[in-house]
Amino acid sequence: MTNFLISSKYLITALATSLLLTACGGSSSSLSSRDTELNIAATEVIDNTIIPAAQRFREQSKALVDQSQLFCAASNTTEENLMTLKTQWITTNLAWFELLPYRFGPMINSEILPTYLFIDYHRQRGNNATDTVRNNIDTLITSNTEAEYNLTLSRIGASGVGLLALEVLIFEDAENQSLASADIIAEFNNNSRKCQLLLDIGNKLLSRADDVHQGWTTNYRNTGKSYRNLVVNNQLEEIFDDEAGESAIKKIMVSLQEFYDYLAKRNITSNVAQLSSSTWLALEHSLKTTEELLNGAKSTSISINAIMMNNRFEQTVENINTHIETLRTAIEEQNITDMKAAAATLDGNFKRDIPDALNINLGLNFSDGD
Amino acid sequence: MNKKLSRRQFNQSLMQVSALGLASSMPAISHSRWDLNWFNDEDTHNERWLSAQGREAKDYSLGWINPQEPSSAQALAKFRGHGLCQNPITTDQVLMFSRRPGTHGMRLNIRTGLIDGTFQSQADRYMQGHGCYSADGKWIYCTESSISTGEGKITVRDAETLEQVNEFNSYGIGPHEIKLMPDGYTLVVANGGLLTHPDSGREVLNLDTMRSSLTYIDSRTGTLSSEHFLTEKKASIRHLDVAADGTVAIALQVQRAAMNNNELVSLAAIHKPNQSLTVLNAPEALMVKLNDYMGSVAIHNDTRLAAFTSPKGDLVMFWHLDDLSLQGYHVFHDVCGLAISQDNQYFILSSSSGKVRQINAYSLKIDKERSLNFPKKSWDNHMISISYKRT
Repeated sequence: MTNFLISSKYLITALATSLLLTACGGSSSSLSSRDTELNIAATEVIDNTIIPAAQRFREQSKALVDQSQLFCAASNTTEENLMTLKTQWITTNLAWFELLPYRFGPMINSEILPTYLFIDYHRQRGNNATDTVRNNIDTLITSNTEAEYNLTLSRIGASGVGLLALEVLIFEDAENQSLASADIIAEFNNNSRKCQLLLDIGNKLLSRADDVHQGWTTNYRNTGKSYRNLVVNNQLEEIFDDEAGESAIKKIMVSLQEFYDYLAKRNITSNVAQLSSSTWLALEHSLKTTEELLNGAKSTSISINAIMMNNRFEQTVENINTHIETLRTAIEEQNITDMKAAAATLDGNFKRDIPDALNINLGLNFSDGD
Repeated sequence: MNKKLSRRQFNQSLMQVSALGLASSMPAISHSRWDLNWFNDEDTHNERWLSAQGREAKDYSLGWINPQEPSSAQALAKFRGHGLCQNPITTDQVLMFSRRPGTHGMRLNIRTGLIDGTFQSQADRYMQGHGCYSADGKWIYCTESSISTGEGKITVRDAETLEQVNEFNSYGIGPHEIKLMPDGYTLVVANGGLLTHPDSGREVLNLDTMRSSLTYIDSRTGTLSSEHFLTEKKASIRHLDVAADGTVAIALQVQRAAMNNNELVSLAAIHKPNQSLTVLNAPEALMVKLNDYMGSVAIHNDTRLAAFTSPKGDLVMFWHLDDLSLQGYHVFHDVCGLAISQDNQYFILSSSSGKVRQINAYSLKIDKERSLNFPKKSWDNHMISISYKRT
């Protein structure tokens, strides 16, 4: 059970973290104690949850490329290696669903061609691009020349790459959309373009995963500075003309709200991770990262829940815990209606109840326009 | 006669107002100096930016910014305001209308900072949020609705007494923003098509049958001149602005809950005389980001650019009125208020966190030197920029 009370350990850690922020070039001295507390909590969410999730996704994407290379090496297209490859795709997708709720900063990079779109096209507005992916694969693996293949590959947009394209390549054969391992292996053996494409699409995914991880940790949009430091030190608006300089805690809350809105409104369970039959498992992982966001990780000194409790919003925390349990049950039972309803409730929690309990405003116009 | 009040004289005037029981109409200076420079009649720059503001009922007010100082002030309203308009002749008079489904409006004298009149919807009517003056400044046209029938109405008030003197149809349901066309007598009305009832607050009661329209009405007779419809029936025409040549830019909000698909719908459109409505397009990722919602629109006549704000997408987008191309965009959290500066150089943007940003209308670059923050202010959906004459 997480202890929500602020202990002396917290106060010492908070002071240290505050000093750390200042040392990083931050402006914590100008913040109120409330803002400082929220900024510490947001910083810990970034350090303990978001960046590790970005790192895991990067590592799993790399492992997927490595497994693809291993599978495609001479005489390695065995059923056992295909199973390993399939398992690795699922693991990579689960890592993605732990990161997906944090769709801001390095997940975006460009408003017109956001990075996440090249990883998960469905996230944008729930469009199922499976047919597009299949058509692209058919065209590419039947290319007559290397030049033709490269030209086609260079013209493929966000809808034709990412996790979905890799899933289609790994879990079915292009010829007949057969799910049988023997058919898939036979196609890899008979058509070298398929392995070539698997590696090319895999490397494109890895490149995006690298962008996200490096953006959070070392170099956001070629500034030579990490998004982590830019956002917690409130420097985004100062450096960029096209970035909203809102606090880290607000960006996190809006992002989570948008994620649950996405779960509630789009048909994820019938569109995403269908060939691998791993959608519900992926949703479990998103829920896990939400719980960590609210409760804090092992090394967290002040969690979002702790701040809400200290602000005397115990009932809000209790309600949200109940809603999380409802969602967990719906996921376990694979009940689409209940899952969407529970996600809609959590959407409302992140839009109104949690900001109220944290005493932050996500925006009057944002939430209450006319 | 113009005269500069001393601080003592000003304080005495406030006490007199208070004694008359009108304390709520005092200007409450929240972010400014007490040296009263904002009140100085010798000020040659009488530019003010006005907006409904306040996050909680006790704070609801008409707020304004003096961008030269810069400072802000407010007059408590006791209701949540929405749209505002300036009297084109008596330029120190500004009206603020209730956000729907409110029933109150107020008139501010921006020179004194005092509320000098209020008005209320008649029986069986409630306000829809916007209004405008006639070209001679003698009449006020306000979008309202009939509670019993749901019909959209344009009420006409005497601009001096604020008494309602007439009423005509808006020729649609849920009229929202209204403006006067350059001919000086035609009103253009955004009929959102959304039926609501004060008893059920802001709940839309006709999602299945909604039909939004842009109507042109002769203000002299109340007759319909023309009406125009969008192809997408679930797109609600909510806000508009009028260019000097009569081109109307309209901002839309899509009632996605009433749609059975997730196809993207353009949220900006223009209407030119004797033509049909034309939607404005943008790259898919930007359109998705708007979340089916545009909140305000303003036209910069010199560049022929129309700016549209989306607080649900944290975006301002700029389209050219003639070649219909997207010229640029700017990210600004919770942006909604939108106006043109009096020197005609900037788009002014406001957010509910009290921030104000200025985008150069020619380069579409933000001028960070001109950014203003009023942390104690919560600028609501709309902002207007005015200058007023010294009387």
